[in-house]
Amino acid sequence: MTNRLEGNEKVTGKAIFAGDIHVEGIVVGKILRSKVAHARIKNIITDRASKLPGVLAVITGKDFPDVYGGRTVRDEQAMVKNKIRYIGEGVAAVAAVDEETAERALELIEIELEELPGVFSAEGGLEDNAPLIHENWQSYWTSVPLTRRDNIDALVTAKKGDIEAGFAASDLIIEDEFILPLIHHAPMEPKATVAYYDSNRKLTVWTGTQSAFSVRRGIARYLQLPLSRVRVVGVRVGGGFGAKTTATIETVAAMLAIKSGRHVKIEMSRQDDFYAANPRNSMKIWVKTGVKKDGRLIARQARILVDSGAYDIFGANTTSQVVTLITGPYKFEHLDIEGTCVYTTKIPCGACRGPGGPEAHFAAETQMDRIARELGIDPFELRRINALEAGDDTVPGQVLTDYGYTNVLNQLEIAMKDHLDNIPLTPGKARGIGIAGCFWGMSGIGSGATIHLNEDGSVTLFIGAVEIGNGVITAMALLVAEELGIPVENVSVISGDTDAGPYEGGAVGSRTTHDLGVPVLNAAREVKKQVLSFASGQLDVDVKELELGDSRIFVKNDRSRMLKLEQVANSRINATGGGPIVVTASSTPFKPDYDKQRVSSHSRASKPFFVFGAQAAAVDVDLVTGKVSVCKVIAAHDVGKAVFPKGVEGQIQGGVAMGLGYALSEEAVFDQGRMINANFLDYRIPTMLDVPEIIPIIIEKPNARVPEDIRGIGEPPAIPTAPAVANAVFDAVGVRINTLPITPERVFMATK
Amino acid sequence: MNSFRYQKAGNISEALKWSKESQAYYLAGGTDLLGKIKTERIKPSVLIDLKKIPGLRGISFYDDRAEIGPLTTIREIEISPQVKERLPILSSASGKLGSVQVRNKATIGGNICNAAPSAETVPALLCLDTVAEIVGPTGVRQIPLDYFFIGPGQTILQNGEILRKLIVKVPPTTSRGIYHKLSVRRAMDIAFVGVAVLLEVVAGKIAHARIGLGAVAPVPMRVPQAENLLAGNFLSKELITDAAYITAQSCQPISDIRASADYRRLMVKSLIEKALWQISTTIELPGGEVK
Repeated sequence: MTNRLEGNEKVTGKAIFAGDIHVEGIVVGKILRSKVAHARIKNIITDRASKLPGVLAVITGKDFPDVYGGRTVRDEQAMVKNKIRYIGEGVAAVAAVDEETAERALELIEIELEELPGVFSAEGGLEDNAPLIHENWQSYWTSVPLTRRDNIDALVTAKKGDIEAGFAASDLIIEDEFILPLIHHAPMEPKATVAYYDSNRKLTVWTGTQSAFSVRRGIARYLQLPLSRVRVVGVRVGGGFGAKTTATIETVAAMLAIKSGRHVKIEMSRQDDFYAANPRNSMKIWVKTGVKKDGRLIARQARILVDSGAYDIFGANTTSQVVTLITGPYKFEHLDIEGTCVYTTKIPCGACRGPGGPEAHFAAETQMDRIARELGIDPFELRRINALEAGDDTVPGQVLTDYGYTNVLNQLEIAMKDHLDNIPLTPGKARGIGIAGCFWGMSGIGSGATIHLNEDGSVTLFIGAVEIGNGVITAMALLVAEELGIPVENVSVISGDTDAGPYEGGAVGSRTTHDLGVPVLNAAREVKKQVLSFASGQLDVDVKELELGDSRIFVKNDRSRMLKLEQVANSRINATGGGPIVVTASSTPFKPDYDKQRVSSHSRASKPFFVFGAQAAAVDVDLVTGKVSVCKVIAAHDVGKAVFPKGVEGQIQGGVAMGLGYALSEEAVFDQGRMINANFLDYRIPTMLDVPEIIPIIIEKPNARVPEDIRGIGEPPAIPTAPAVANAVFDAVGVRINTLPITPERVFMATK
Repeated sequence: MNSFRYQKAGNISEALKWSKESQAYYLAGGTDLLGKIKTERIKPSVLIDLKKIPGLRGISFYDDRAEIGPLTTIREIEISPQVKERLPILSSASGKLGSVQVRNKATIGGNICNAAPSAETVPALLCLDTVAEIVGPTGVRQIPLDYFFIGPGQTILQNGEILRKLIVKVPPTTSRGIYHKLSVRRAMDIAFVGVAVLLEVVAGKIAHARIGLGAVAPVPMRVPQAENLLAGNFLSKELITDAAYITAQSCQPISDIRASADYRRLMVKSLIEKALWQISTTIELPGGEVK
């Protein structure tokens, strides 16, 4: 199996991350972050900071054009001008010769504020007399029509059938409320960036990002520059998980670079990251379900309350996704779903590894377990009876073309017998086993790719995607190598540079391997076509008689007649050859229809594809303390076609580990809008010792086609882990913990 | 992070002299100190590195006691064959601090002088009747570790005094000790309850008892009432329940983001019971039979 192409540089510490960039004259950029949650800015006095020797630039919101940005709702400015809306929000920034001078300069900036009452919960934001967080909310641009009002960022609804009739026709009605914490992506590398504005008035930004093109678009908008004058180079990234999708510190570094004429580097500290990365929303989800005695799900009603924080960032989208996914991968005749995303004066939340997925499935899949227990139906059987299959529709009425959930369940059930039945019991601990399934709609964004056939028969592949650890350059190189019959080492991948590769939508929404795989493969096929066509003339045989392999073109029934790829490449360069082989291809994503009558204010109503997964967890619950330890997790995920199998395994392992953190230990705790556990001691991501053996089961479609059947795997493995663990805890000690994380104290107090 | 000077002390008197500067801090392993500097909880003017001072590192065993230099790393204590054999409770508690990487740097003196209520090694050291030998401008004094802590992050050390030596009583081979740490993670976590129990058992009867607690009071503490109840008696179900109950009543836990006071108190009771039960199963009854 192929290893990661950039693996050596990473394991030997040679990979260049943004923080590693050192050039002559580079200076340090620092951001002054607000210590208050909600305040009107009366005045910011920067004179003393500017005069400090060693300070090259001091900027505030006033230095930026008066524009708003945002993906779905344009409600945020590059740096606040009039109003602070959360603790950690940037209010000024400096560039100075060294870190100490920069920090000293920040201390010299005086801010005159009029403090305003804060809003520290979604419920608080909905109160009649709640302070209005965005006074100008009515003037904000939105990418789709959204129901918005006062502190409501988006009110998303979906209705199907007749909910009351559905409940009336049900034999069993079950209600639950779930409380889900705000969690952080906690990448190993907090965000870092370097910006430089050169004498030709071109801005270049080197940054650790999931999407170079998205950062370029953001910077260009906030600074009102044409895209042609902004170049973004994605360097190596120490983990994204949704935290590094848009322009944030990049815009600030860019403005400091313009003002100072120097290379400016901004590195966020871990604490900055806790205060200002865009983490996963906290939520409350209420779910009421009606079901027949035989296990058929009939009706579901749900109310989803989402704390967006100070800005939308991804709030309307996440809320929309919960509205879609709250059914779990199951069909219902009657639905009444409402998601309310509310502004608060807290850290604005963004996308975090499957935004909406882990939240919706924690509710849906733990309630599924409860239904199975109450009806006395096997949990696998209950899931199979109700499984969404091709031809069924989602909450917004998109008819699925993908199928495979039943097969995923079957494969998981078989694997459990092999892997979970004989784990030795531990004295003093109760063993439990739980399962949970998931479905997930991939995002679709158009992308392009370019391939050069080099003179020696090797190729250079130009893509705009940044290798963020997702394995994109290896996966894309493998697609090209296989198509052209050359070793993967003979594919050089130029990636992540907006001036060197075609547009690419970014490592978001589990989309890259499919969305970029299509143009990469189409370009490779066109290269192949041109090669074969040229060889056909040279060898005087029909194209159909030729095949590629070992960097050669063979006549199928007489393999002694052949041309080297290198000969074709060279001949094409010669006067009569037609010129070098250079092919660019691009693709647009599918936009399946959905039922517009069924949903309102939904920003993610249809998805190009859906994928399915299911996981089983075996846990031990300490009977003295309530502490849950996970013995083993089996994770079965349908990827259609695994292009880079080791990469897929890595994504499954990492996703489950993150899911375990959500399940058992991670929670940002706030006091009046200030995170009080903004460190890795009290914000507990799992350590290596806490992560058990994870058995990945990669499920491929029979006779999978490439690239049509390639599906994403970045997000799904993080989705069903928490409900699988919660269901295992119930199996062990008979209590339902509907509040994450499932801490020892919560379990102990529930069992008492 | 502000800049500060770094000075390596060659001997104790040099360190004592430099410590007179305001905002001078002693540096041992640095695992607590550097975190505090980075998060600006302290702003030192100078760090005085004690690691090059001769004689402050190492473990020596004598008949009835061990002497541990404060700059001995936690990892050295954890893996020392002699500590494992003669002070198993200390070895076990040391192995639960931070991670291997942290234990390789962190020192036992640092763990004590940092004075966290949850300090991992302290409940075990309290059970071992540890005496702290302190050197300062006015001379040397010896203080039982029970009296060393006066509040979270606060000790009796003053005027630049340095912890010079730990004198640890080696319990007889008939002793049994257990340390239980309750935390969420298996590594890189601090105890929200730490419980150490050490019993010396002669012919089935408890000759000597010690109970040390961490993270359930402003300072690590012993529980003399429970120790007195246990001493002189046979370990029975009733005695175990009573001792655990008294211990839980004696501690003064707080509610914070790590755990509630109620849960902490309940866990003290449960973990003391568990430890006593575990010890009871290894006690040799008269006649050589193991209970």
